[in-house]
Amino acid sequence: MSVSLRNLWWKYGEKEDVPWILKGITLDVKEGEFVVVTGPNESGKTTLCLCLNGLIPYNYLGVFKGHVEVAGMDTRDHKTSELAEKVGMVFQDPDCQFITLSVDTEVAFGPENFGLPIDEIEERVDWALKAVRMEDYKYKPPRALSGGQKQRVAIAAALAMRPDVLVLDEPTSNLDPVGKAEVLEIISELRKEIKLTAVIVEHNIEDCVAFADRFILLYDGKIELSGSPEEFLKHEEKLKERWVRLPQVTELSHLMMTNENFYLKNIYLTLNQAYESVDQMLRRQRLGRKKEGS
Amino acid sequence: MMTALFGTLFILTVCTDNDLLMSLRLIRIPHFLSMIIAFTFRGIQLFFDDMFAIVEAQKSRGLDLDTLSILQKFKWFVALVVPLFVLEFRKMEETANAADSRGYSLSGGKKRTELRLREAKPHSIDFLMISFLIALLVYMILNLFFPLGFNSLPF
Amino acid sequence: MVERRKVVEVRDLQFTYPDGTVALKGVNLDIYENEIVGMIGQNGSGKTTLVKHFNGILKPTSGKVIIEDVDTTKSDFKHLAKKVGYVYQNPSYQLFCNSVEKEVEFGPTILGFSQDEIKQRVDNALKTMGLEEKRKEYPFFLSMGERQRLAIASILATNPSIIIVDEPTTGQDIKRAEEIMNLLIKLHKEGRTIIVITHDMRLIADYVPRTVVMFDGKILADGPTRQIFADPKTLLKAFVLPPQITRLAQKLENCGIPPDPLTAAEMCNCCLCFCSGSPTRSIDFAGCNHYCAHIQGHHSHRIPEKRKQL
Repeated sequence: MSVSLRNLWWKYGEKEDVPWILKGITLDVKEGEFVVVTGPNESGKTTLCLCLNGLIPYNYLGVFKGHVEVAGMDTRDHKTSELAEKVGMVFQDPDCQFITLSVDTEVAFGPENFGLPIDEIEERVDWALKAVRMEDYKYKPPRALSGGQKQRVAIAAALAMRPDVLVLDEPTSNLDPVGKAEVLEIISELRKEIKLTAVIVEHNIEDCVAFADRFILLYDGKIELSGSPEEFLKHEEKLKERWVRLPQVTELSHLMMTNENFYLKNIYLTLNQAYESVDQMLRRQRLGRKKEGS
Repeated sequence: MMTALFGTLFILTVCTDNDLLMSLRLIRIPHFLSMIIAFTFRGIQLFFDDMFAIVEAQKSRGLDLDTLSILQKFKWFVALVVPLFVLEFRKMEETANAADSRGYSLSGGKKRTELRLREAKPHSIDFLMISFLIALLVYMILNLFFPLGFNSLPF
Repeated sequence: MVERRKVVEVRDLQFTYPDGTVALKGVNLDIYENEIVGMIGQNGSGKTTLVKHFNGILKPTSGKVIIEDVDTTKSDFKHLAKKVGYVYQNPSYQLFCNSVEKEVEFGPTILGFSQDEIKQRVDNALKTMGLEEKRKEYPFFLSMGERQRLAIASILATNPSIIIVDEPTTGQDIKRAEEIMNLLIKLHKEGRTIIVITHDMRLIADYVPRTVVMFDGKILADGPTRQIFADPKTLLKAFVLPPQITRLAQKLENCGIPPDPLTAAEMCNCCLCFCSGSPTRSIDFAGCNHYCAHIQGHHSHRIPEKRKQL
C-alpha cells in the first residue's frame, strides 16, 4: 500500500469544545492509484491532505489519533522534511507556496534540500518545467507570473522531488478550463512515466472522471462513499445531497435510465462513452423508422 | 548619510531581488540567512500586493484618498495595516509549511547543494568593487571620529 | 418593445498597464438595464481588466467608458461606487474592518449618507444576506461562505444598480455557488444589472441569458448564451469549451440533434423527440435556461409533462 490511514481522528486544538475535523478515517491507496477526494467545503479535505505529509501533526497543534503510513513511513515517526523524500505536496494558494524569488530556484529547492548533485538538479528542473509546460518561464520572478502559472510551477516543484506519492489540494482552482484539463492530463501521463500515486482534492469531478481510478466522498470528516467512477457516480441522490455536481453526461444517463423509451442500463461516465452509446441508440431508432416507412 | 540612503535605494530598484540574494550567497553568508532574506523579500512583495488589493477594494466602495486630510490618511493606514498583518502572518505560516514539505530542515538533514551557485561565478571586477566599497566604508567611519580632511565633501 | 436604457457603454476601449502589457485592444460593448451578462474567456483575455473600467478603478488609455450616462474619466470613485458594486474573487482581500457591521457601514459612510440612512442600509443589507445575527463578529472568524455573503452585503449597502461579480465560484462547492447565484438572481429581480465573470460554463448555462466571449483583449462573440455555446468554432478560438452536454449534442449533429442543449434535461428531451420521430426543433428552447425555468415556476431538471406522453 502506498498510503494507509487507520482510524484517523484530528482536531485543531486540545480543549473539549473544539470540534473534531477528521472522524475515524480509514483509507488504503494502492501504488500507482489516482484517487480523487471530493466533498462540500469544510468537510475536512484540506486537513486530510495535511495529514498525508506530516504537517499534521508536526506543524499544527491539536489532537491526533490513529495511524497514518505513507510510502512505508509512519507520519508520527518522521518529520515533514523527512517525509518530503517520498511525498510531494501542492497547496491551494499559489502565492504562499512560492518560496524563492525565481522559477528555476523554486523548482530546484526540493532537490537542493536532498543534497543531490547539481547536474541532476538541473536535469530535474528542466524535466519538471517541461512537464508542466513552463520551460519558457525558467528565470522569471514570481511577480511576473499569473496565479495559474504559479500553480503550475508549484506542481513542477513537487514533481522535481520525484515523490512516490503526490498530494494536490485543489490544484486547478485558479486555472481556466483549458488549463485545468492540461494539469489533469499531465498528472495522468506522469503515472505512466514514473511510478506515481496521486491523491487530488477537487470540487469539479467532471474533468477527473476520465483519469481517476477511484473517487472518495468526504463529508463532515468521514468517508461516505468510495469506489471506482462507475460505482461512485451511481449514487445520484447521495451525491446531490452532498453538493457534488455529477458530470452532465452522467445526469443525462440517469434521466434516460428512468425513462422507458430508452433501454439504458449503464450510466455514462465520459463524453466519449456517452457519444458512442447515444449515437448507436439514435441510429437504431432511425433505422427502425426507415424500416417502418418502407 | 543621504548618499548612503539614496545609494541603497538605487541598488534596490535597479537589481532584482534574486540578484541581490545571489550576490549575498556568493560572499558565503549562511543559507538559512539567505532563506530569511528571501522570505523577507517575498513577504514584502506579498504584503504590498495584498495592500494594493485591499485599497482597490476600498476604492470600489468609494474611497477617494485624494480627498482625505493627513490625519484621516494616517488613521486609514493604521486601520488597514492591522488586518493586513494578520493576513500576512497566516501566509508566512503557510509558506513555512511549503518549505517543510519540500524537505527544508534547519537542524540536521542532508547537506544542501545549490543550483545557482555554480552559474554565479564571481569575476575579479566583483572583488575589486567589493574591496573599493569596503575601503570607502572604512574611510567614512573613520572620518566621523577622526576628521581626516576633505571636509568640503558632503559625506 | 420597450426601449431599454443603456447602463454601460464602452467605445473603442484600449488599455495598457503601466508595465507595458496591452490588456484591451479596442472593445465595444453595450449593456442594458436589468440584464444579466456573463463574461467568459481564458485567463489573461481581459475580462477583469474590462470590468474594472466600469467602476473607475482603471481609466482608459484611449476610448470611452460611460456608466449610466457619465463618462468614467470625468467621474470620481464616490460617484461610481454609488452606481457600480464590485465583488472580488477572494473575500479575504475585500474585508478589512473589525466587525461585520462596520464592514457593511464602510461604503455608505464614505459616500456621506446620514446616520439614519446608514443604519437603514446596513440593516437591509444584512437582512438580505442573512447575516443579522453575526453583526458583531470579526469577519475573519466567519466561514468562507459567510465571508462571501458579507462581501456582497457590503456592496449592497451602497445600493448600486450594477453589480459585478468576479469568479463567484472559484474554490466553492456547488451549494455555495448556487447560493450566490440565487442571491444574484434575487438582486436582478429587484431591477439591478448583473455582470458575472466566470470559468464555470454550467453556471452560465443555468443562470445567464447573455454571454460575452473575450480573447486577447477583444470581444470575440456577444449574444444569447444558447447561440454562443452553439458555435464551437468561435469558442475554440477563445480556448473555451461549452458545457459537456452541449459538446455531446454537437458531436451528434449529423444524427439530427440540435447543437445547443444546455442541460441534461434538454438533451434528454431532444433524444425523446428524436425517438418519437418529431422534429427536435419543435421544442421551443429559445431563452429557456435554468433561470427562466425559475421565473416561470418549473424546474428544468424535470422532464415537462407534455413530453412524457411520447
